[in-house]
Amino acid sequence: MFTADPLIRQIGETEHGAARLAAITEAIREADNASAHYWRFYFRFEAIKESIFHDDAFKAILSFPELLQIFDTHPELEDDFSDDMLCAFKWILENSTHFYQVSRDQIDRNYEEYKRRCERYGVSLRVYHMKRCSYLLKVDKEAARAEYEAFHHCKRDGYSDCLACETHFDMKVALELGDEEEALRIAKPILDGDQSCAEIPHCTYARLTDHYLYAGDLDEAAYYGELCDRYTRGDAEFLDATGILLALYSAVDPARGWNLFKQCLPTYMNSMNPTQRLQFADGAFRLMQTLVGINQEQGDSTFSKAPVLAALPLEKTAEGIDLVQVRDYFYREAREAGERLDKRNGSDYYAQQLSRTIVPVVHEAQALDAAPKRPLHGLTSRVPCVLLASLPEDVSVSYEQMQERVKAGVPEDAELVNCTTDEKGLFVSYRRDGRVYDYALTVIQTEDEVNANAVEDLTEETFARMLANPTRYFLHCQIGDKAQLDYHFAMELLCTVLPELIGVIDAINQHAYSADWVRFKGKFDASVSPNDLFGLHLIGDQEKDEVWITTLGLNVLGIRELEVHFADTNNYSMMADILDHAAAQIVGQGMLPDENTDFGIIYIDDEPHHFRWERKPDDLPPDSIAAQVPSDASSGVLMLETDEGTELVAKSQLLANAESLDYGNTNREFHRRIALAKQTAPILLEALQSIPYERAGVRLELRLSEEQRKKFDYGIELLWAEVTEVRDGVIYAALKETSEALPELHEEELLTVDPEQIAAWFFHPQGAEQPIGAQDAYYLLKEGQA
Amino acid sequence: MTDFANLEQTFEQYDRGEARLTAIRKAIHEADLEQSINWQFWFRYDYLEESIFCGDRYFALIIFPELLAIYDEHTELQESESHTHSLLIAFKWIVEAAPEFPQISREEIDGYFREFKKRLRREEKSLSIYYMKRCLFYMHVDKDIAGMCFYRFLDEPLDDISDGRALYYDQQVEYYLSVGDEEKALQALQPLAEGQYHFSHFPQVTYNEFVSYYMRTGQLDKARYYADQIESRVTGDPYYHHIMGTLMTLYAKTDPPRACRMFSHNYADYLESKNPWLRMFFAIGASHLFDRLRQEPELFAKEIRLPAVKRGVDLQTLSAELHASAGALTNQFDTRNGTDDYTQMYLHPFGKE
Repeated sequence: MFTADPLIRQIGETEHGAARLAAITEAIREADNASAHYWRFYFRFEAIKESIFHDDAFKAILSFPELLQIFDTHPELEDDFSDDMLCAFKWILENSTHFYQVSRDQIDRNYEEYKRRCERYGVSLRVYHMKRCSYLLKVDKEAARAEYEAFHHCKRDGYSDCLACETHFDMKVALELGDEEEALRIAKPILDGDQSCAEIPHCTYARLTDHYLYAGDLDEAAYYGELCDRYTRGDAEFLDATGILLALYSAVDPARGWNLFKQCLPTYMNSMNPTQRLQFADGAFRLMQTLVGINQEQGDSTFSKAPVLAALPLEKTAEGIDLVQVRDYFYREAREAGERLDKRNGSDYYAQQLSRTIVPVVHEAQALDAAPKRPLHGLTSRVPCVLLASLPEDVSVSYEQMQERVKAGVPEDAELVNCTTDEKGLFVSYRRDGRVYDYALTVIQTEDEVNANAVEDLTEETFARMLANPTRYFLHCQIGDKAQLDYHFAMELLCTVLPELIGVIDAINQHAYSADWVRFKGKFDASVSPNDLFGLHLIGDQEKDEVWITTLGLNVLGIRELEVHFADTNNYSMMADILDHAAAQIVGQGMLPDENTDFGIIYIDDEPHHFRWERKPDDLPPDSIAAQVPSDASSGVLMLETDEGTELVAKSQLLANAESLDYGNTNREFHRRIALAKQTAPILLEALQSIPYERAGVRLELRLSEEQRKKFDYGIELLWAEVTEVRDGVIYAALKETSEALPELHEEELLTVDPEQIAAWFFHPQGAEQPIGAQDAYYLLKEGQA
Repeated sequence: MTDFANLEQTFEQYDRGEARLTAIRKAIHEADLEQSINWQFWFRYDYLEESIFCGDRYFALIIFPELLAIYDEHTELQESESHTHSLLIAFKWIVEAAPEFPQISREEIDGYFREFKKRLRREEKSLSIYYMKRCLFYMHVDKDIAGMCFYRFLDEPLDDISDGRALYYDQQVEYYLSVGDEEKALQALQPLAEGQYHFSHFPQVTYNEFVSYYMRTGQLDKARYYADQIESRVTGDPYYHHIMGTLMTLYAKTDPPRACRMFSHNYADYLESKNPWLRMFFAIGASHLFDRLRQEPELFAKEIRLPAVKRGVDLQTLSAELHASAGALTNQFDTRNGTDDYTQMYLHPFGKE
């Protein structure tokens, strides 16, 4: 007798894609052999679902008639599978139009058959009209318009697409019919984060990017493209959106486009979906055209040795593959797919799409302190980073001097693209890792008050001097994707241009830093931690026993600021820690997800709990600080997800006991610290050689042999060793820990320390109360030199 | 004009069960006379709810078509969220209750499920509850279909018609034990046992599944562990006659005086019960107990207390009556379901040795 349960379980435990499809195919074979019709249908439905969502949709199109035939010849399946049959049919309708291999006649027959079955089961024709309209938009706009009206006349039911998908569809139709204003009005619930699903807002952003790109509004296109990129991240499912992004980057950021292209080329090569392939090929063609143009203009070679290009069926030379050939390849691919789809559809829709041109439009520069554009999910428009440097009272530096310093001190890993001055300031552009970083430095005489708090080691005296000096050097920088790295670059630039500086104030997070701190951060990129990129601001009222807390600086990364509402005088310190912890995790991930979606983690009594955020309610008590503070309207309120629902963190009983909380460490932070230890190893060496010390130690990364690696299932052991001496610039240390995985090493064994092995270090100067780390040692050495 | 809202509030003055059902029946009559569509609907809903939880579920099955007809005939009810929601809740109770009556054929039950699904779809509700209830029914009809429904149930989101997170885990416990996956059942039990989620019939309903499973697999110590924790929670409440049946079977083997006390305490309620499904379990357990008493007749005299209507009936006669009920009911259910699940439970409560 045929038993399905073990097969269902096995399938459920197999990875999505080809592996799972193979498991399902095996289950189909067994069900067929046993003539178990119920399961013959069941597993075929699973195969179609898997093909549609995780493999090749064309396989689903090919196997669907078999599914239908089983359903139709076995009426006993109706109770359990009429839903699945209609659901599979809907997927087939959606997907078959993407394949030119499916004739127009067949598509029309499919629609009629689907309609007949909907009527038979009393199902609304809403989906039928919706999908048919989508298809006809590429075939016959008038007929599409009629379907669209019919769609809105049908009631929603359980077979309908979700609300977010329907709103996206409405917006898409409005754009196709040329009504941009109406499209944006319709899309508002999506853009405001009120509606979302697995594909929305991703596809909405992609569609708006595409629209503005060819409507000649590159600013808007770049804005939506940025959001689209963050949501799609090169996922195979969104290959068409990736194509749109490539087209966008061909116009606004070819380097970023090149990286995205390399990331997604394998997905393109594996994709069998002609419509998605066409969209990618079109974007790739436009990108290659730009890259070839830039290289030719600069007299550079148009050849590339990027290994990923080897997947393309193009001639390889010693110089690599010619991007001219790559460009022409994608041109042909896009045209051929477009022609075939148009031929099948009897229209010129794709020919028109491919012949569109991107018209760059010059816009007036936006004010740097412009307010965020509009609230969008967890993300929002980036605001520029503004740093304010202070020099000693008697020192001033001209733009020309600064320009000379920039030219003389170009970092090794950067290419100076631009360095000009005029009466307004100094303008510097570096290219790093294919990305351009722009800075504008202006000197302003102002006695305007600056909101800031001295942090780290900035002395009160220096801070007072900084605030009192009316000559202020403002560095404006537009932050790219890797915000942490750019903070390091900005500090590095300030150190190059203004080595005399006594401190720097970050106007966004309102932190004031000492000159040593700035130099340290400018020298070691791994020293910049997520917490450096934002500050916390608290407002309290003892009478009301209320404290309001907000982050300052997340907006620089294009993320909403987060607030804690209704903390009190007892718990505000812990709430500040919790907000700091939550915000650091957001910065680490570079992204805040949608409203009411889990993010970040905190351990309460060893149980993981997630944070969420909600928009500020309109009905806050009018006399509360949360209602009265002039905070950013797009800010989110930090919430905690509990079994009972979502709670304000400050009101959650779960967070009432500080001792039950564990903030945990992220891997990212762990690796950052290791990187910092390696980078600052020369500081340890210098300190050991020039400062009397009581003790010093290093934590060493020691590699396991292949045999031990297999036995213990890890490859690197970290062991502490105490520094014994420094000779001829080499550190020697005695091992203070041993490991089962490294049986050849014994306690007190003397090792030569390779700086590349250092995963952590400490240094205890003579007379000091406790050991110090890299940053303090750096200060100490600077002090000694001074 | 009758003040129906006020009338509805008076229901609370009556005892749960028959007294309250009588009061609601009168209210239905009043509402019908005055053609108050809204109250015709709500009083029938009240009646159905009372029948399900504190009366005879068969009354619920009788009143339900009337409730459905009133809803379907009046668009103002269909457009009202509260009426639509309540109708779907009532439908949920009906698809759960219908399988408890062997006189309702499998085709009729499938028909209820079909209609329920259609209405859930129409109102854009999750099919979670549909698959859950269908899985429960098909566990004794066709285990493969039950399995399919179970995995679909896991895939579907919970919503306002669903039974809630606690029953979501309870259902998993029941299914996994039915297929012999003790490990997964214990995993599913964890959130309930730790108190993360709770429903009013926990732990008795969930632990009863473990008692049955450990009995089937001959692990009587483990069965006793769970049984001893729920005995006091179920005895005296006719809603749990099915659990009492299981416990009597177990105690008949491991602690006969305890089984006798449970029988004596609940036998009168059993005689009053009109729910065949609950009666079947009780009769099976009592039959097993009386098999044991026939071996130890002194226990019958010492421990069994019979209600007035049965006073003086001897051990042999009572045993024969109980076996006759158990045999007839298991046969009716198995015939309807096309399996021999309940017969096996009756004949081999500790599995086939």
